[in-house]
Amino acid sequence: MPWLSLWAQGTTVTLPSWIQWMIVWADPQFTDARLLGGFFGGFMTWSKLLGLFCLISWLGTRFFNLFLRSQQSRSGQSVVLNLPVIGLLLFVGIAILTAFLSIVQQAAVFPIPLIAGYPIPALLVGIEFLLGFLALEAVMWSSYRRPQGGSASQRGLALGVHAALAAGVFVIYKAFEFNRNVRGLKGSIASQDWQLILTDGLRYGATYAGLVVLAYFALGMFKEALSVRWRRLYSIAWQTVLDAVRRMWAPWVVLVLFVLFLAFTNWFLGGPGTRTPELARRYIETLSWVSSLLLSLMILLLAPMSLPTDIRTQVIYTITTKPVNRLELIWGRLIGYMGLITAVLLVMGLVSMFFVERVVNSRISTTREQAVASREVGKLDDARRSEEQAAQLENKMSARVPVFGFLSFTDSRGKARRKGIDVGQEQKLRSHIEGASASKASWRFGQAPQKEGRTLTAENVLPIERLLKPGTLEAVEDSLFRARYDQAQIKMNLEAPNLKGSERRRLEDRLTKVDSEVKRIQAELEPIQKQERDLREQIQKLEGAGKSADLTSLRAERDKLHSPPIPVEMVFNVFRTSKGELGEAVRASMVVSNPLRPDLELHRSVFPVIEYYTIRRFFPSRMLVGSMGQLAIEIQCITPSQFIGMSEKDLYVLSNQGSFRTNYIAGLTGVWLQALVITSVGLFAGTFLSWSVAFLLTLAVFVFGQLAIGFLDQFNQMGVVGGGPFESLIRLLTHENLQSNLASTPAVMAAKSFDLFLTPILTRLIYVIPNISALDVSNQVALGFAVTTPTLIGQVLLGLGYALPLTAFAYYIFKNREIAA
Amino acid sequence: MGSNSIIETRNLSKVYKDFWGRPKVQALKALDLEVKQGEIFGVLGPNGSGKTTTIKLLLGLLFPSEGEALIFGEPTTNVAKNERIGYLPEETYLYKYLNAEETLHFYGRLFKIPSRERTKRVHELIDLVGLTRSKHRQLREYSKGMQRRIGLAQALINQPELVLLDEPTSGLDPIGTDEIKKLIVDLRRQGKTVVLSGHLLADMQDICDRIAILHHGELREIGKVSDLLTVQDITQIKVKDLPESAWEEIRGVVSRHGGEVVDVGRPTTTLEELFLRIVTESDKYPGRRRIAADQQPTPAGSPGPK
Repeated sequence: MPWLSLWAQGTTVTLPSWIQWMIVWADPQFTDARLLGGFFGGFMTWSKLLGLFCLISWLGTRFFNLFLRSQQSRSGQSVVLNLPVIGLLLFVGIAILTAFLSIVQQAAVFPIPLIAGYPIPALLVGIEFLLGFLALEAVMWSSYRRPQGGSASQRGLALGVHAALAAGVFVIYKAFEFNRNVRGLKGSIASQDWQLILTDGLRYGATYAGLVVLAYFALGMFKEALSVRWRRLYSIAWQTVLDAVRRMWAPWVVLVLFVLFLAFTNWFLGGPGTRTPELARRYIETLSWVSSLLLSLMILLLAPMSLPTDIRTQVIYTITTKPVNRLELIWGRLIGYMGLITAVLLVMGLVSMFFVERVVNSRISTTREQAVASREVGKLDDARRSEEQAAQLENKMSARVPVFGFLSFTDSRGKARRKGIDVGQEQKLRSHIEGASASKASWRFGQAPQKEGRTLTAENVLPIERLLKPGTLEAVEDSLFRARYDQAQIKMNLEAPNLKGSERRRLEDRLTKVDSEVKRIQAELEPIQKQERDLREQIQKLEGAGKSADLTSLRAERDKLHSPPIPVEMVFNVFRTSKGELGEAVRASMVVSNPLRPDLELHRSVFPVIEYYTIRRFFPSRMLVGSMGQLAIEIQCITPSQFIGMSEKDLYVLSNQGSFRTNYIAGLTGVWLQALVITSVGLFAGTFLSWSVAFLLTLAVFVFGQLAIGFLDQFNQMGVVGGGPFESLIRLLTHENLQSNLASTPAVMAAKSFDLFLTPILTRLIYVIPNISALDVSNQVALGFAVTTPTLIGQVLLGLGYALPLTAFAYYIFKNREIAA
Repeated sequence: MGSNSIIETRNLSKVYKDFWGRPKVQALKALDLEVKQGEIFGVLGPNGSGKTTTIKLLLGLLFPSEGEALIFGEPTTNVAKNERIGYLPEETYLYKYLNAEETLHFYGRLFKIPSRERTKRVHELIDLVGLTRSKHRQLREYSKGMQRRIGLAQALINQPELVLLDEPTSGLDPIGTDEIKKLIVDLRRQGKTVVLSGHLLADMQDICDRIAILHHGELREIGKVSDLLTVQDITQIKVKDLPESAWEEIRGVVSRHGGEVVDVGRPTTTLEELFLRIVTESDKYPGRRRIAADQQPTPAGSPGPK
C-alpha cells in the first residue's frame, strides 16, 4: 500500500481510527513489533500469518478434492489430463512467460510492444490475476455442487470469505475517499485509482478472508478440544513413553551417548590451550549443544515414526475404534514425548550442571592459588591477571540481570552525536570515543531519547526496589523522596483551575494519606540517620586515635545501615593508533550522576580497560536516592591517541545476581522448547506421510530451522547477492563472481525468469520454517546472564506459537484421512 | 431406521483409489443391510469379498464412496458412538511391548470407566479369555491364539452393546474356538448385538441368527440361517425300514411298500454347501441371487438323482 503510506507521511490529518485498525489488521507486511509492540502486536502478526496459511490450505484442499473428482469421468473411467491440471499448468506457464518478458524488458534485449498503452507483462499479470480469481471462485463453488453439497457451515465459510474480500475493498475505498476529501478533490474516481483500490482491496481482503478461515478452523478445533479428556491423553502419552523406552530404547541410547561424550569432554574443552575466562562459556555452550543435538536426534527418529508405524502395523485400528478423537491422538503423543524429553533433559541437565560446576570451580580455585603464589614471589602482574581471570570465571558462573541504558555520544568538540567515531569495517558494530578529549559515551537509564523515537521498556528503568536493600538508609530516603514527590504532584493538581468538586475531594483524601505516609517515613528515617551519624563519629574518633581493633566491627555495623554499592559492568574494545606505553592499559573514566538530583555529588572513578574482559565497577547506592529509576553514566577515554569502542549493550547496571543452578535449569527450557517444535513437526508430518518421508521432512525443517534461518531472512529481505537459485547455478558453472553482471544470454534470461517466478515462493519459507535456533538461550546462560521470567515467557510463547498450529494442522489432516485406506 | 436397529447401511459403496485418485477396486457395491439389537449377525464371504471393508466402513476407519452407514442411528464418523462398541480386528493389532494387563489398562483408560472398576474388569477379562498365567508376559511372546484371546478381551473392556468381530476364531485351536463361540452366544444372552465376519462356515452356522453373504463386494444373500438353509421346493420324507432296492419307486409308493412315514418337512443343506453354490453362481448370475427351481441346493443326506 505505498500510496497510502506516502499520503500518511505527507499530511498531518490521520485516518479515522477504525480504518487505521482495519489496515493494521489487514496488511500482512506490517511488522507489529514496530507498530504496536509487545504481546498484542506479536499475536496480531501470528494470527494474520496463520490466517493466510489457513486460507491457502483451505483453497488447496478444495482444489485437490476437485482434482480427485476430476480423475474419474462420469462413466467411471479414469481421466489422464483433467481440467484442474490443465488450468494449473496454464497458470504456471503464463507466470513463467510473464517473468521472462519482464526480464527481457529489463535487459532491453528487444523492445516489448505496448498493447492499449500497457506493457505485455503487466497485461499478462492482470489476465493471470483475473483468471486465478475466477479459477478460485470455480474451485470454491464447485465443491458445494450437489450431490456432495458440503455442510451449511462450509457454505457459510465460503460466503464469509467473500464478505471478507468485499470488506478489504471497502476499507481501501473508504481510506481513498477520506484522502480525496482531505485534499478537497471532487469528481469521479479515475480508472487507474479504481485498479489500485481493487488490487489493494483484494490483497487486504485476502488477509481478512484468512482470519475468517482461521476463526472457522479455530472454532472447530475448540469444539474438539472440549471433548478432550485427560485420562485418554494420559493413556496415549503413557503408551508413547513405553514405546520409546521398550521398543526403541531411545532414552537409554541417548543417555549412553551423552555419558560417553562427557567422559571425553575434558580432552576437547579443558586442554592447556583453553583461555581460563572462556572455560565456563565453552563448557556450558558445548554441553547445551550436545544435549540439544542428542534430544533432537532422538525426537527426530521417534516423532515422525510414531503415527506411521501405528498405521502400518494397524494398531491404530484398535485405538481409533475406541472413543478417542484425533486431537487426543496427536496431543497424547506430544505429551508423552515431551514427558520423556523432560525426564531425559533433566538427567542430562543436572549431570552437565554438576560437571560444569566441578570443572569450573576447580579452575577458579587453581587460578586463585596461582594468584596467591605469584603475589608471594612478587609477580604482581601475574597475580592481578590470575585474579582477574578467576573473577571473570565467577562472573560466568552467575545469573546476572542487566539493566540497559540508551547510548548517545558527544564528539571531541562537545557536540551531541548518535554515533561515535567509525574506525572501520571490523569494528562497525561499535562506535569509538577519542582519548584525552571531550569525546564521551553517555548511557541514560530510565528515560528514552526524545528525538530518536525510541520507546522506554522495563529493561531500561533501574529497579530501585531491587537495587536498594529494604530498611537501609538509602531505601528509606528514596521512599521519602517518592512520597514527597507525590505530595508535590497532588498539591500542584489541587491548584489547577476549574477543578471539579469530586475530583478535589479525591485529591484531598489522597493528600491526607500521602501526608501521613511522609510523616511515617520521616519517623522511620530519623533513628537510622541518627544511628549512622553516631557510628560515623565513633569511627572518625577511633581512626583519629589509631585504634584499629574496634574499627572493623563498627564499619560493618555502619555498612549494614547502607545499601551495598551498585555494580556496573562493561565490555569495551580498544582501538590503538599508537603502541602507547608497553604494559600500560588504556584508561577510562566513569562519571555517574542522578539526573533528578543535581544536588548530589557526582561519582567519579578511573579504571584500566582490559579488552573483551568484563570490567566491573561500583557506584554508591546513594546515587539512586530519588532517581525514580533514572541514571546517567558517562565514559571517557583518558589515554591520549587511543580510542575506546562500545555499543549500547556493552554497559549495563546489574540489578540482580541469581543462582547459576537455577539459571542453568531455566536455560534448559530453550532445549525443551526446541524439542517441542521438532516433535510437533514430526507428528504433523506423520499424519500424512510414510515414516521415512516424514523423517526426512522433519530433518529438513530441523536443519533449516537451526542453520538456515539467517540465510532465509536475508533471502526474504532480498539481501542475497548473486541472484536466485538458477542464476546462482549459472554463476557456479561459469565461475562468475557474485557481483558481476551476467550477459543477457537466453540461458541467463531463462534462469532469471525461473528465479523471478520461484523467489517469491521461496522467500515465504521464512514464514513456514520454524525458527528453532531462536528458542535457544544457552548462550545467555554461558555468558552468565540470567534467563529472566519475561524472556522465558517470550520463548514459551514462541514455542507454542509454532507447536499449536502444527498440531492443529496435524489434527485436521488426520481427521480427514482414511486410516485403513 | 427401525426402532431396534443397531446398524443400518444404505447403498453403502466403497471404491479404493490409487495415489492419483483414480479408481482401482470397487470393494463394496450398494450394500443395504440392517442389524437388529440382540442378534448375532454373520457376514460371510470368500477372501476379498468386502467383509472387512464393510466392518471398517461401519467403524469409520474408511469413508464411504457413496451411501451411508449408521450405528446406533449416528454417522460412523461420530467418535462418541465408540463408547458402546467393541471391535476385534482380523489380525490382533496390539502393542507387542505391553503385557496383557497393561494392554487392557491402556484400552480401558480410553473409556469412561472408574479406575477401581477398570482394574476389576481387567482381571475378569484375563480370566475369561484364559490368560491368567501369562498376564505379565509381553504380547510379543504370545502365540497367535493367545493374541486372539487378548484381542477379544480388549474388545470387551467397555462392556459394549455392539461387538464387531472380524474372524474371531482364526488362529484358535478347536477348544479355543469352542470357548469363543460359547462366549459369543453368552454375549447375545446378555442382550448384546454381535456382528462377526469370517469364512469358517461351521462356526457361523452354529451361532449366527442371521447371515449376509458377500461376494465381489455384492450382497448375495441375507436372512435367517434356518431360512437360508431350508430348501423351499423339496419335501423330505423320512422313512424307516425301507429296503435299499425300493429307492426307484419311493416318490409315488411309499405307503404301498409298507414303509412308515415318520416326518415330512423341508430339507436343509449345510451352510458350507450354500456358500459354495452362491460363490460358484456369482460370476454366472451377477446381482442379488434369485432362487430358481433348478438352482436349488441338494438336500443334505439325500442321495440325489441317480
